[in-house]
Amino acid sequence: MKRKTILWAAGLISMVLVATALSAWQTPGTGTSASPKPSRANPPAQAKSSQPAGGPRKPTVFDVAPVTNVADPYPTWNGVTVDTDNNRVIFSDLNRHGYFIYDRLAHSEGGEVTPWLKHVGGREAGLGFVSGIQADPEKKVVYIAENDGFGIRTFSYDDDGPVKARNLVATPHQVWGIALSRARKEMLVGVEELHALLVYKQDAEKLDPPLRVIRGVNSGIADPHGVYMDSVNNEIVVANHGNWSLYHPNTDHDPIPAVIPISPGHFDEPSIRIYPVMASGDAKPIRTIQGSKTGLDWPMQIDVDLPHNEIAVANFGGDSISIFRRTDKGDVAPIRELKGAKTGIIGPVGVAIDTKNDEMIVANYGDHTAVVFPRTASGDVAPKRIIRNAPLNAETCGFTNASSATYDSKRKQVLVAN
Amino acid sequence: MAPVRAIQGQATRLSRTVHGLDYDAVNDEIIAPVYEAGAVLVYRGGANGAEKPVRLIQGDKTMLLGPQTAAIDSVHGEILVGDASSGSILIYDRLANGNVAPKRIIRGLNTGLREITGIAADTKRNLIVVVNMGATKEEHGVFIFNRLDNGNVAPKAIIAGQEAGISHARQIVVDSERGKIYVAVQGTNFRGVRPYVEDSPRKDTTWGDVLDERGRDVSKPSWSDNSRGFIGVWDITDHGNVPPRAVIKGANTKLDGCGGVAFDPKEGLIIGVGNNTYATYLIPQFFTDDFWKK
Repeated sequence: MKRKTILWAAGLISMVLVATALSAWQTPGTGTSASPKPSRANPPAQAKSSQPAGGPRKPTVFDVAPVTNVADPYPTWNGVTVDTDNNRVIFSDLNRHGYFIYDRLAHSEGGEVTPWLKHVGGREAGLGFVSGIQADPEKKVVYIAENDGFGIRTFSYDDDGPVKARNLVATPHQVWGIALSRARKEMLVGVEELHALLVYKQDAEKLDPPLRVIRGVNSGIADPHGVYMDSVNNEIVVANHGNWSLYHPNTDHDPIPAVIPISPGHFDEPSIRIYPVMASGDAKPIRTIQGSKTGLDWPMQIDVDLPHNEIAVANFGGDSISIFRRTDKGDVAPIRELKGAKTGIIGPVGVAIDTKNDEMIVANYGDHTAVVFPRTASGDVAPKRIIRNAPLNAETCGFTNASSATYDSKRKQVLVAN
Repeated sequence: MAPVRAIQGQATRLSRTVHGLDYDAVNDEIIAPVYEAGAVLVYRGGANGAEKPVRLIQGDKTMLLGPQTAAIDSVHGEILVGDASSGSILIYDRLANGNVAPKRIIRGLNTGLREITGIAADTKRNLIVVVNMGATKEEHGVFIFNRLDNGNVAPKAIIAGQEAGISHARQIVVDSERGKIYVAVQGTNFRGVRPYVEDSPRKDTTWGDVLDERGRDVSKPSWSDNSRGFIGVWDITDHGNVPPRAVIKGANTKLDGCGGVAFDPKEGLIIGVGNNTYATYLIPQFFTDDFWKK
């Protein structure tokens, strides 16, 4: 697979600045908007006149076509889960706000889009900037996390199209990763801005509070992303980006602090931290994988291969999948790393281990693909299957939740924060 | 369309929630806040890839808690920061680096500041202009302070209210030459309450609040027939419950509300970003005095 020569951006992860040249608008007709293009010689006229005589002031309305309009029309994965009982693989779609269910063996032979079985999205579904996704094979239920609003929504495997969620449990803002323990009947979420892990009943609904919360300076949790609940070894595993500052409620319904709390915000090194499954409060991790040898670089979704005692990490910044021993601790190198141009791994956000079929599925944010490998694949090897959510060579624009911009007048580039 | 460059990766120290960033054309630098780690980063203007910031403001002396927006005042050599978590405007020297105290802080009950999501300088008039998301429409809008204000001071002017239509806004930029304020307004519906405080459900919240089915102000300004967002332009002298002088809004714009706005007077260009889209509009008349005299 051809690797893009220019790396782009992150997901709802929202931490990337992308720059786009403005050459498109300078050449009439090269933008993506279908509307007529204004030019400097022919500036747009306002659609409605303003300032009616004698009446209140009204704004002059410019309902004008853009000269450049950049948006990705295809899905962008932000998480993956595999159900080996029902032979399904499921991806959350951050860009178009929904999720897709595929047959586990679905793939593209060439450059065509891979056919899916179900696609849930649209206004009725209430899905926005979704992130973590999990499934219960017995109940045939999908759980999907909302990162920019709140809540975990639940859908049936039978759901398709713009349908309402079967269940919604409220959560704090900024949940990224979720994990299920069917044995414990519990659901684990990680909350970025709280630097916290919350455990709920699996069937929690509405305003049911969490059963346990791990949070505090001693916990070392800092901007958590991927999470896993291990009900065999009774442990919780979390991947941290390492950003930390004291959280203070900041919505318009919350009072400002009387004095600004002393908050020595800091950048910790990225880490994988492990806690007892019943940990709560400001619990210290029982093991931590952290340091320069680990190669961790914006670690996203994780999965634990319990039969083989391994942790798989989608290592976004490294364009790699890193495998550690489950019992590793300290500054250790991964025991295997899947990385390189042949792999097609570009900005991975999701990883799922299929121990039944001895495979590993990687969801890319930086390309319109998911790539499937033998579970023990290592180095720069080609995937055995590719799932495409867009035609071959469809570019990703690098952002999915653009929230601010600035103009680099020296280089004539637009900088977009994701 | 793929980007021409991307600043990304662990080394950059960027995080989620960059609700305002700025390019310093005088010194060729990029300024970005880090909400998740209480920091402000400064990059080379041409930064690319997993590149470290050239300067970083962070630590207990900085008073940074959860900055969501930052901007440069290159005339006076200052970095302006809006901290949503502490409801503060913090001003640093442009070259501040490390654990340094702000030169000035504007915060307190008299300021009316709560969740600051946008900040900009009017260098010509010595003003600091912010987007403040307050609990009511009257507290939710553009707040204007004198540049040298310090402490618990009342704003010089507030643009807010039903007719202003600023019910969920983020980035703000100022065309200082013409005295115009540009605001990215995501929608005119007043947003619902979030169901959690810290790690527990909000005690006074009902499921109706969570589903946004009750008590939400969805009234529209008289000049709009829908609740969709817009890029609004006000005059720097505007005050009170006044509509924008001009808006970029409607089906042709391809934007259903913006989180971000930027412009370039030389190119006659307005840039709007929101959701998974960015769009540029060529409206050179915005950068002429004649247009605004009408």
